[in-house]
Amino acid sequence: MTDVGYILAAYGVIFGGLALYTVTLWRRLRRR
Amino acid sequence: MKTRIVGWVAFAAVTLMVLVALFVVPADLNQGDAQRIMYPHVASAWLAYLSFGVTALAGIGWLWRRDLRFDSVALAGAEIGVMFTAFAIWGGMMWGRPVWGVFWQWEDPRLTTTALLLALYVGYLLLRRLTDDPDRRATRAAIVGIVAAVDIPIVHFSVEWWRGLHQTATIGSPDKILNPAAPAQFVLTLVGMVLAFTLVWTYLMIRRYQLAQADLANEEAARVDRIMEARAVEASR
Repeated sequence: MTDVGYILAAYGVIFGGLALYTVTLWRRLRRR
Repeated sequence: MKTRIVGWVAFAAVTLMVLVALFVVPADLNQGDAQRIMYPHVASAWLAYLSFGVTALAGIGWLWRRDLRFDSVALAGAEIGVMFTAFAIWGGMMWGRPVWGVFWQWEDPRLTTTALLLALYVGYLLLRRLTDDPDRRATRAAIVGIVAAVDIPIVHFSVEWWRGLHQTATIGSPDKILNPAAPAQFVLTLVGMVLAFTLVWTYLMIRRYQLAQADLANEEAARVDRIMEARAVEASR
């Protein structure tokens, strides 16, 4: 696989960000 | 319970599509493996459009019906749209460096109008924090949300209207939906990723709406508490 660094950076931020937002949302809802 | 099922189905769909995009579908002949970034990049851009479109429609709904549930939908759309716009920009930059040779170019109309879109909706979210009055907040936000949505078609058609670095639509224009400018396996993977992302978006929209409604209820309870306290102080004098 070529350009692994760019692919990892793109997928890491997008899917890591999605996971982080989902967990944050879920925790905020639980606190309400 | 139903929302939880949507969440798990979305999670499974996204996991499957990530595996397909990274390990099953072949690399592009010219772009190499960097082309794999296109799948989440395009899906994120589509959801940015959808989110801000929902925010504008919900804004119209608020102005028309004066029901704060519309404002909660508008808030959910704006916040989630900002996230997907940031993902689209980031994915585009990570693809642009190996394929174009640059992360960013301000002269490109698609890139610049997308950056403007992000700025507009970050502004929308900041504007919402300027007042605690739910009605005033909803009205101001609705107007900004409707006006800012004018940038959505400008972003989408910028590649057709002006010349720039960004390529024209591969499947997202009327003449290319039935005749896409990419092989079938790339198009199917892209459509699969877009559907999986849309499921995630649906789950997040429901949860963010629920949170906005809970916040409104808390604000209302705090307001009633303040009134009761003030009355108690007045009565004790």
